[in-house]
Amino acid sequence: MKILVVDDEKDVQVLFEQRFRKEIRDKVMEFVFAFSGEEALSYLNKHEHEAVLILSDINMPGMSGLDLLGQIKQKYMKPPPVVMMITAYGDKENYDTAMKLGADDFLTKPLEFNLLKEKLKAIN
Amino acid sequence: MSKKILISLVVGVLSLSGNAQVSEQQISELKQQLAKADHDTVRMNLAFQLASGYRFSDIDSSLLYTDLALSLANKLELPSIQAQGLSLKGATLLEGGRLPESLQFQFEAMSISEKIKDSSTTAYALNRIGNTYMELADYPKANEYYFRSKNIFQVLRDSGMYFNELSNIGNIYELMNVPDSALYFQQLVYEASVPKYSDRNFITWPEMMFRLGNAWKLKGDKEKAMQYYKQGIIESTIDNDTRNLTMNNLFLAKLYNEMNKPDSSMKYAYQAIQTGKKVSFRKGVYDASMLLSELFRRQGRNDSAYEYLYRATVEKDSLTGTKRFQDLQRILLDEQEHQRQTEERRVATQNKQKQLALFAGLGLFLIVAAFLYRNNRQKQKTNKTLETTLNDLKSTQSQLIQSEKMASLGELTAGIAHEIQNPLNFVNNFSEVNTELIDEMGQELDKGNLEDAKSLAKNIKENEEKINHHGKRADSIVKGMLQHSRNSNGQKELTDINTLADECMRLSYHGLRAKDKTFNAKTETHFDTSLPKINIVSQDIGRVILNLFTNAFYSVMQKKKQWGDSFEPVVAVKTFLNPPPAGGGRGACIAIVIRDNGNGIPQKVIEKIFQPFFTTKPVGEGTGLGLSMSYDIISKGHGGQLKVDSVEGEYAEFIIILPI
Repeated sequence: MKILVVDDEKDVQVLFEQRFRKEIRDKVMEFVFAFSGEEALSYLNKHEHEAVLILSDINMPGMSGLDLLGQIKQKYMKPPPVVMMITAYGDKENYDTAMKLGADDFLTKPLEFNLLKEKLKAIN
Repeated sequence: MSKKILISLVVGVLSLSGNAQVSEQQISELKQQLAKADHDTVRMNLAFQLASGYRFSDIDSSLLYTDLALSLANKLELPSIQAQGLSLKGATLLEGGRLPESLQFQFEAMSISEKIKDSSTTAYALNRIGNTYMELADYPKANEYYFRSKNIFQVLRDSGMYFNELSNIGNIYELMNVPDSALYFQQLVYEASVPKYSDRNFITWPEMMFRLGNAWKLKGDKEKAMQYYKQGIIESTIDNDTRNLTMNNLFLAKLYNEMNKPDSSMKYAYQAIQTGKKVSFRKGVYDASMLLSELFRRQGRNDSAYEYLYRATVEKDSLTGTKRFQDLQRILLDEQEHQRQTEERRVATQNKQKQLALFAGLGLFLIVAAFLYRNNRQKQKTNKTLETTLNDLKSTQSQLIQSEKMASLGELTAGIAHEIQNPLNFVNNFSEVNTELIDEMGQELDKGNLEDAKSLAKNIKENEEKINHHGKRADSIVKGMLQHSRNSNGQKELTDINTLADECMRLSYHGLRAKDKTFNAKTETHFDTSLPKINIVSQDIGRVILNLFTNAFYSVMQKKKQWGDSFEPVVAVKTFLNPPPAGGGRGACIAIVIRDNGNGIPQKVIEKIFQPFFTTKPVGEGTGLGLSMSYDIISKGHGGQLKVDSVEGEYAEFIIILPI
């Protein structure tokens, strides 16, 4: 399973690579990283036919995670990839907006990786 | 021309204590300037210069210009110059032998100069009064005035005039037939003057020469006396000093007469009459005429003897005519009376004045007290109202300032609370990862896989560093928030402007994001990494930067609402060192430029934006204190500048300039 992680904080890459080191080593999961909404979109355009699961931050300079979510859900109609939002701003307003835009899940920071792993396994 | 320069210029002119070095060409130039001058101060100045220039060559012209200058000084209300002018006029009158008037003007000058405590002019007047008493042969009185004048010049450190007075004192001793004292004083002056020979203003050389001659003659050394008189004639020519030329000629004539050389005596007596007439020097002409008459009589030339006796009588008449004597007597009596009264009154008047002042003060006090009492009752009422109003205003003001702070803080708190989750995310997760990794490392060590264990240890260490980094980041976010809410303690500390600006931009951005999820903006940073740390109150400057960012984001947000997707909001911050000096004259400084591509500021508003309570935000959204507080913090608190540049509809740029 290929997972695209979108976050403007670079350390997120190290964190995911460490937390999923076994899955990566066992080639159960493959991670790709984008550090902005724009970068994520351009990756998706280049790898249009790959089945990808997207984990996106919301608060990012430039294109926000919600913008990205909206674009993905509009553009990739059949079948749209799974998009999970991961944000520090877990308020109701943010949650409702994400859900309205078609988010498949909504997780808050600090991220519970065990919970995330379970959700990923369920999707897998 | 300022008054001060003008006065010093006039003083300079009047200080020419006895020299006349103004050439005819200079005089005609001065006249031309006077004809052209349309400014009273300039005209007065030129008139004084002309009066001074004519003083020893044409007394009537000199008096004419003195009167013109005096009337201008009076019109311009310059008492100091008026006093100087009156004294100059008195001195000129003395040259013309008009002794009574001369004294009158000197006393008048003194009464003004003493009132305004112009001791220089007082000293000159005293000197000239001494001169008059000398002419009147009242030598003890003359020396009394000369000594008073000398003492003042000594205090004023006017060494030229100080030695001039010493010379006058010596001259009086000569007239009193005290040869040793006379010679002592004249030699004192001579020795002091020799090194300053080229400075013709220091001492009147022609005069000093005949005085030395007189002193030596009194001592009995006729040869020395003759040398000095002859040198005196040369010095007079150098200075164009006709009066003292007359004196030197006269004394030489008298000396030759005593030496039984009638021809030489006659020659110099003739010259004395000629030169003396040129400048209306009546006393000189009289003396020379008397001498000539005597010389002719001894030769048996009675016609000529009678002729010169007659001429002498005419001069003497105008010099000390009956009426003039009466005038003089009156003035002197007046002055004596005046002085006696002054002495008597000094004590009495002082007491009386004190008493009067006390009574007057008391009376005035009572009136004022009564007035104040009445007023006070009214004012007390008004004051109470005013005090209450003032207190209300003060508390409103501090509330407003606090609410401005809280408003911007409120905008931020939500953002900060969330913003803290980001570093916390790393701290929590990396530490959990490390626990796992340590377990794994133990397993590898058990298996004896040292290489794998080592690589795991390296990972653990790297993760520790990340934990530490993000822990500190969380700390700085919290601190930033606390700093913002705290009242500034005004303490300046070395601060990295780039870090501060970056922190503020993040706080502001996330704060707004927390409030409005639909909002987004591109942020750009262009930091000059070579900036030195500068001494600032970082909470205050932070507040300013934060405020500017919040405004910038607000502005792009408004534009985004109007334009929709076609607009990409950008807020940029740039720092740089030593910008080209604006307003000039400053040392190195740091500039922080905060720019947004929002709606900009309309031209009619741009001048008002730093005024307190000015806001363009809808009611309730802004207090209007942000920019005025910012302006105060930058300019008053840090000696810097806060400037704004904007094109309506395109951009707004705020520039903070802080001195290093």
